[in-house]
Amino acid sequence: MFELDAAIANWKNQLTLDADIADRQVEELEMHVRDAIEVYTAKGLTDREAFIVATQMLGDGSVLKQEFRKVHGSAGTATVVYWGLVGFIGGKAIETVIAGISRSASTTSALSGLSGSVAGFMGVLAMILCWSAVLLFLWRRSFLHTVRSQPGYLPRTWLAMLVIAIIIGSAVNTAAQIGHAQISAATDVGTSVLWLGIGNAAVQVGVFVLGLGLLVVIAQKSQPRVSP
Amino acid sequence: MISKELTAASSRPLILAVLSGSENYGYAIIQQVRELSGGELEWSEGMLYPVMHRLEKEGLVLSRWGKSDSGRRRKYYRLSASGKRALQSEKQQWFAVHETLTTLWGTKPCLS
Repeated sequence: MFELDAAIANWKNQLTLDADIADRQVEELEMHVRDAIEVYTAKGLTDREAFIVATQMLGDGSVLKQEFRKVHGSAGTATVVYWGLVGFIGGKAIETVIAGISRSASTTSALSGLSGSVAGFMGVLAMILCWSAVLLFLWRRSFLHTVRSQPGYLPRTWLAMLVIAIIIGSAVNTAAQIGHAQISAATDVGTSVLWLGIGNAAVQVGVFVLGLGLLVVIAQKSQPRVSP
Repeated sequence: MISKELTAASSRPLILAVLSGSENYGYAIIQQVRELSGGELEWSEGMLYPVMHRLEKEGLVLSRWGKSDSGRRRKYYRLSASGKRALQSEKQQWFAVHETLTTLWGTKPCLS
């Protein structure tokens, strides 16, 4: 049995993947196809035949993509920057909250008289629990909602570069901290940690504010303004 | 059958001219052009939309989302003031080409 709505939904999804066309534009194309199907079925075609003819007449996704690119090229770049920023800001936000919880867990343990290593362990435990919760949430979301991304497609080079950056960054950071603690006097380390902490908090807030501002600007710019 | 290049070149004045009549939506614009040209002008239907969006970006055409009679969402386009001016300019250009060719070929078009 041919399900027209399912076929149209499938075709829309494919069009989004092939042609990278924005939802609003896909909706307009969908309405076109539905109009055409209505006309063809009125002429005696079955739903299935009408659907095939209507989508064929609309044209090839890859050709449409080129034409839409020519018109909305800059919007495409803005979209990439936008989602990059959303990911960055979102990641930073989660990271900061978790770091705060982890530090609090560690400090509370130390204050309640547990040894340094146990306090450190408690901080790590809190971090693991929080990240597990975040990943579980994302995993559930990705299964409950349709993910608009080509199956099996991963920007591998970017992923690889990110992983390498995280590994090198963490290693350098840890080595620097251990080195500092080994070389300098405890009070000096304490003072530097204090100022680093304050500076870090200020920079994080600054990045949030500027990043959010940039997001708002891009979001406004990418909306086509239609005056009545 | 009109060539691909000429079809592409004429899409702009055709859309502007159709919209000068009244507000309209994509599918109806295509149908109208097909009927008026007696099937000589065959657009790859999807191509209308990037052209519409370009005209919208240039400010020649305005759009709004409305509802069709059957209650479906539909994007309607209409001419802006600068769209009307662009249509006038297109008209002059096409008439100039038409007159030149008519003079060269020594034929008068039969419009009966």
